[in-house]
Amino acid sequence: MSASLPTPAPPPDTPPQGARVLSIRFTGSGRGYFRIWIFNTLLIFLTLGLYWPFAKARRLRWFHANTLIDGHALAFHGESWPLFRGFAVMAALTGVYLASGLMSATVASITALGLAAAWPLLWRSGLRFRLAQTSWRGLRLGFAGDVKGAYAASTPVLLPLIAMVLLSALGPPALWSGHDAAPDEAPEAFGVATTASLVLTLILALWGLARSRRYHLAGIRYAAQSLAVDIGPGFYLMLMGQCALILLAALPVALIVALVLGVLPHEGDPDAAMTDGVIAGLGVMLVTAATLVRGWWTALEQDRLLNACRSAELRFHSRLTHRSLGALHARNLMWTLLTMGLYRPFAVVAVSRMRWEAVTVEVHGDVDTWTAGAAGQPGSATGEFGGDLLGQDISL
Amino acid sequence: MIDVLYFDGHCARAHAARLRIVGHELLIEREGPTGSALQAHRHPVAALRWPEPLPQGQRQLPLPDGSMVVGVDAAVWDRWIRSVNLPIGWMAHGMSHWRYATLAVALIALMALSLGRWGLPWVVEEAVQRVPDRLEAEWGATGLAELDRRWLRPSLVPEAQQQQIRSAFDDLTARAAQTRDERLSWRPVRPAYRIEFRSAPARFGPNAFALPGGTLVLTDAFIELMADHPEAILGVLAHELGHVHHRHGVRSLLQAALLSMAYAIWIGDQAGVLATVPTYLTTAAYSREAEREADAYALALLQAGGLGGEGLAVFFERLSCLDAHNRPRPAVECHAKARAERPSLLSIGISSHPASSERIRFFRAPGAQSARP
Repeated sequence: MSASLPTPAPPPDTPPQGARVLSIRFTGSGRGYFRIWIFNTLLIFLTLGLYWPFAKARRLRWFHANTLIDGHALAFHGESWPLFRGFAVMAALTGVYLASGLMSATVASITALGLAAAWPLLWRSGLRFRLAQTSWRGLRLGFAGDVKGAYAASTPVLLPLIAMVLLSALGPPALWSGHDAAPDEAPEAFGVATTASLVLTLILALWGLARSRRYHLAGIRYAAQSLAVDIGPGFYLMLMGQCALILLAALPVALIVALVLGVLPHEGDPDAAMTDGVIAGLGVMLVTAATLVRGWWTALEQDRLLNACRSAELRFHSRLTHRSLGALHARNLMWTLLTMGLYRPFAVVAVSRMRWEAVTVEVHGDVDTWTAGAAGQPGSATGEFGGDLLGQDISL
Repeated sequence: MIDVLYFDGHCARAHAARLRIVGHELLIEREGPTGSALQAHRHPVAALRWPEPLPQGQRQLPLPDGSMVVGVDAAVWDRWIRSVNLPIGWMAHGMSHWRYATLAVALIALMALSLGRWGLPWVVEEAVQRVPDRLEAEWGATGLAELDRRWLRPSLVPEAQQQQIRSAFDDLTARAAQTRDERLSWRPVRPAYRIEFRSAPARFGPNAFALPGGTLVLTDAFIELMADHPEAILGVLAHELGHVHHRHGVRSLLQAALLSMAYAIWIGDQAGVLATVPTYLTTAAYSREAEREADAYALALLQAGGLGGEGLAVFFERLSCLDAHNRPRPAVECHAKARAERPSLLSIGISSHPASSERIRFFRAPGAQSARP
């Protein structure tokens, strides 16, 4: 046997100055993840929830190790015990919030306000942790977004939330109706104010979403690369409009289902017919929202964000809208319901694969020459679980 | 030995390398930067965080100096690990065979069933017993204060009538206490209660509810609806007292909290709005159970006090036949509706109360009549 080592395969024949397109492959399967997931779930139940952070670490490691960019997998370095500490802190905060709710409305409001004020810090911390614990080709990623940016991105969403907490603490009747008003009369002014505030909240939410995405993407660091993306609330407004159209298209189906399940079995009993019909119809709309609308929103947003995202030597291309994520969600839902949840790991893997494999990375320059960027603060795992609590996405 | 890739943690270049176990150390041999000389690193095997042999995925071994070894082919890596007798944890073993996965599914199913049937009710029962009465009374007081602030107004029912209802119910409970009925299982004294009257917005309808700590609230619309049937008023008060006795308020809070945690674990962390559906359906089922318990309690109390269930039967009849403004419809329309009524699985499934027809049947059953002639 020869004593020399095998050399790595030479890079494909492209001129060094030209762009190279890196494809992404997800090598994990539902069958593989099922075995991990069932084991994790069993342990979480047996330990009454304490195993959660360890299960999460294993899940992230598996998903990262199966995401191959240009043949090299991502890696997750998060260690179990720091994750557990973050989990414990988050659980304690949640406990405090719930306990405050039992004590009195005032204490609950104050706690809610405190948590809302701390939220951007938690979010940023979670992003820093997740990205610092992720590496590709041996180099760690990082998050460089500052505290000011986190608050600037969160304020549009937090302000209406804080306003709602304050309003519910003071009580609308105290503000709007006089002491002698009969309990049934809701002054028209109140109704108009409610609608106006809802619309305002929606606009703020969309604005906040655009800002959050910009902040998130602009803060990601890898080697010497930093990303910039241009997106505004106008895009999200258009997205909302399209989703509303999808729901509108589902309306005839909902009506037919409502007729079949509601009206027909209850001829002669208009009340029951109405109730059942409304439930059935709403059910159809809910399912449509959770599958088709959700898929459309995710696909369009991913494409828009990634196609506009660029760094000094990177461009991204995403073609998720060319696949049918909405149909995948619908299939997943059906199988998950039929199997009482056992299909869930297969569903998660299928979505992950579809989302990742729709993306290609265009590299101008030679990745082999890239070196590690400045080491940033690692962040704390508490924010990692804050994301779990509210479903906020801190992943790549 | 095995061929791997090596990343030094400072530069993104992949280097070819070879791993070998020598004694208790891992030896990493690779080409040096100059190209020809072999560079070797040694690390004690026990100090390294060996990757778990998970199904699929590249095998990644991070090294203490920030560099990383990658096995591109998981199967080749696992074979090498076995060939050098590195220990594989029991956890990894559990995840690598389908028979363990099947066992895990069976175990989880068993746990879910037993938890739902015995575990959860037991935990909730123990927790409920430990909630001090004083705390419950405080919740009730705060709750009533909130309701008074937002929706409720002082009652328009004459003071004399209020007093009449209060003393009638006091008499009923006093008579029932004397019989020491088993079904009531009262401790030395009957549960403490306080009857309040309030005027509520029309959309609340003829309603009565109980707050933790024993405050029973009757709405003016309810008094108006059943003014001609005083037994019904007593019956509804008895039903509400049943909620107080069984501490359904605290119980449902705990159940909801534990249930949503259990479902959250099963469904995972990205479920969206559909995750609330199983929690809601189960909570609604528990709530229907609680209503049936309170109905049984009401009947026991009425019978112990010498009355029967007819009043409540009439109340539920009228309740299921209200118009859009929550006012009673003419009797003729109600009878026609009752004949046409068929149980609706959909609306019962999401409802927090059992079907009115079921409750009317319960209170009109042969054993539900008054003991008096």
